[in-house]
Amino acid sequence: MNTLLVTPRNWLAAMGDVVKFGARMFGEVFGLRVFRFFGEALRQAGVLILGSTLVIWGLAFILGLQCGIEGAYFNRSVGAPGATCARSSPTRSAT
Amino acid sequence: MMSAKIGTGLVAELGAMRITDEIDALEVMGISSMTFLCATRLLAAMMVLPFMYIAAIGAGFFASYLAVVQQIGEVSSGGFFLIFWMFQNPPDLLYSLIKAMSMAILIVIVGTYYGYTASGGPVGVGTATAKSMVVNIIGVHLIGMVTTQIFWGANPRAPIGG
Repeated sequence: MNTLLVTPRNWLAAMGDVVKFGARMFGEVFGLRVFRFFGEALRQAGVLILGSTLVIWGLAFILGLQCGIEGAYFNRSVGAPGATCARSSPTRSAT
Repeated sequence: MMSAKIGTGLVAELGAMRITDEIDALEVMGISSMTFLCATRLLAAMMVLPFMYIAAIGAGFFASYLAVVQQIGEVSSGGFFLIFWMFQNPPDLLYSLIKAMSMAILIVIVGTYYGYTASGGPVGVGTATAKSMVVNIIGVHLIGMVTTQIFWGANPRAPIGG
């Protein structure tokens, strides 16, 4: 029985570690200590913008295209083609 | 998208720094590695991601307009925007932003945790990257479930059925 509990116990321990780590990070950010390295934060923001923005926008664009096409065909199949853009709204589906 | 692009990148970068003792070197120089490496990345994500998210939502709407109105020609432009604005409102955008930022913060925390605590050489970094991806997928779905219930569970704000 104890061996069966080892894995879930490890998962719980890992989750606790992540939460503790996250709380420490929040403390660093909201305790304003991170502003000692604000230049590094700006550099990281730049890396994020240059490295990830186009990829994420591109993926969101493809997702919107897919939602639009599938929404259009689904609504046509149920006889309500005019409601297409309600079904293709990515605000609730993209996240 | 974010956990695949940003989360794994954080784990790989910080994990490589950990196994090559660069993080220990920072500590030796008297710089708090936690603040310098992890907190700065969290702050950067908090500064950049809200704008990136709203622009991504705009890209998604634009793409659905292109697909429905231009590509398929299912409805006219006016018909599209009539229904579109019936279903869109500022609170929904705000709630979805809160939801996305919760996920983003979780992804950055998980990514930096697994990178910062990586051990066991290059294989260990690979294992940490895989673990972070699993935790991110579970966490993102949990946050998605909970926030959707909180924000739209009782009132979907969709004008269907009067």
